[in-house]
Amino acid sequence: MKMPKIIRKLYQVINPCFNTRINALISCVWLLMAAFLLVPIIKWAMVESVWSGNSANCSPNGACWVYVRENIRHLLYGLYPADQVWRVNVLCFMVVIQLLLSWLLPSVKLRIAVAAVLVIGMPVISYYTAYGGVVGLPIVPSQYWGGLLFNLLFSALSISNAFVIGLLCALIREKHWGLYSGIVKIYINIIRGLPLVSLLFFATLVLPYFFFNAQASVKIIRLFWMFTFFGAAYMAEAIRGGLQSIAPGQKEAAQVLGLSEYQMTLTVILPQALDIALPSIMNLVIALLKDSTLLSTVAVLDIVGMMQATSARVEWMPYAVEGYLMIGFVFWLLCYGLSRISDRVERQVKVFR
Amino acid sequence: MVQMRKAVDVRHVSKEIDGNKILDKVSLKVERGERVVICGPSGSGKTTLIRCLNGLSTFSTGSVTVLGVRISSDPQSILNVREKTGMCFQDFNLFPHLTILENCTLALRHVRKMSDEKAIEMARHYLDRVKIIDQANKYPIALSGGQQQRAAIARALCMEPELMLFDEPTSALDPEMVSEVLSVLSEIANSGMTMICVTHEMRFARKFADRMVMLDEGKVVINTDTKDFFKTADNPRVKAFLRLLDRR
Repeated sequence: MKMPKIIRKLYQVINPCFNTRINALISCVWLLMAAFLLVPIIKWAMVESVWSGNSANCSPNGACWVYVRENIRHLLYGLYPADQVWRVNVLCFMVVIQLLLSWLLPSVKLRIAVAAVLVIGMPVISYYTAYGGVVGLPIVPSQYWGGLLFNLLFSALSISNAFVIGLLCALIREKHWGLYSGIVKIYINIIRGLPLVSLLFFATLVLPYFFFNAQASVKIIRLFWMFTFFGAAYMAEAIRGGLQSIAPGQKEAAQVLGLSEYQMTLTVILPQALDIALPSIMNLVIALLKDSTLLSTVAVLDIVGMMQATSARVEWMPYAVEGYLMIGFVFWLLCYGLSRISDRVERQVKVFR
Repeated sequence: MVQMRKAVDVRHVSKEIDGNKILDKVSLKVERGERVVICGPSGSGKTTLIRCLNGLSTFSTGSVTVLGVRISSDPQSILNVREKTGMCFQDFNLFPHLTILENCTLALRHVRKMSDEKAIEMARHYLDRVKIIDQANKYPIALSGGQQQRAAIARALCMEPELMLFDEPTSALDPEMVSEVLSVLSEIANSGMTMICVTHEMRFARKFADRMVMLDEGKVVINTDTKDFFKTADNPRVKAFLRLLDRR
């Protein structure tokens, strides 16, 4: 009789753990340790936890998930007025659609066009849509922006800009264009030598002394460009790694066929370099997405800032741990999703390597 | 216009790297329609010489005129030469991210500005000629070395060059694949195209070449008819070289 597949698989995993006395002993020790750790955690998070009602229902023995439920709107949208959150939703929807189109459209030209709109147009569109004051939208100052969707919008726009700037920097540095390459090199080395938090404080506190015009006085714009140029420096190095790993023969073959420098870069060098650099680029995207929570250190009410603000209220004060766990879980989900996407793309690339 | 009739006119070309003479006053003329094999021991400057003909390598002194265009420091002169010459490399250098067909159509579409349909038609014609039309939609990695080199030849032929340069086209191949590439080369030779080939395959050279040029230590030591080259071979250097190849 054939066992069902799942049972067979399970048997294959469990059997080696208990097939000899010593293995069985080791497995038992591990199981005991796991039970010792996991049982209290599960008890706290699931069994004794409170999922409905209000803060009065919560007890110190179990997790108070009511906190997340009661504050979900703030954790998602920050202090954005409830009747205006549709603006944020529309923006997120637009960015997601553009990201998907620039990845999945069949024609390369269309994909580049969509990506150009995303990179050049969307930061401006997003700013004015979120801020308002145009086409009759009420003004919502940027101090009111925040929450998880702020993290997502901010990182999506910032990372796509960082990718383009990083790509240009990597190309300029590799082409050995004298002064330009030197400037790019200095920029990359300065940014890479400084911690992100210090750069964010610089953008918040120091930059206003240099710029007095209305645009630059908006903190969120300064932070956006600082974050973008921070990511771009790392992007440039990741892409440069890909550029350097291309055999010189590829360039010669393209030259001999009569392709111009520009055509060669676009059709021969970059497609290969980006495929090679893909794992490090995705690694960077994940890191930058997580780094967006550092904005809470400069008093932006992103998801971490908002969590800290909501748990500062008397009724929710004991339940900040729940908030941190929830944020950890959300970011883990996002990053795991991204790494799965990158795995899938890498497998496609391997087909012709 | 004697100059125009020559496909290649190399005069007193020298190249030096860190005091080492790679090429030493090399002169070489190739008529249109002529097939020339360049041979010589490793490090004799064969590859450098053939790469000077389309601007992949630079030279210190002398002049190189290819198809009536004199190669100078002006990048446009090199572009003009490359427009009319094709080249195949030892390591094929196919673009790994494109299928065989896309490898062939890339330059047609971007350099010749052909429509997709016309480019594909042209590419299929030449892929058929090198007998790998059935591999057209595969990526280079899926092909054997011999097939890859034939694809590279088709890619170069698609641009309809007046002069073809082959830089050791069979050196990176397993022995059993050499003959398929050489038979394709012979087939193209019958079309009357001017061809210059760096190779160690002496049996192939005997059938293929009108003229043999032998380099040693950056100098042209022999430049003669193929028949004479193999018949007399009285130069002790040629003898030594041929014996060396036989032993392989």
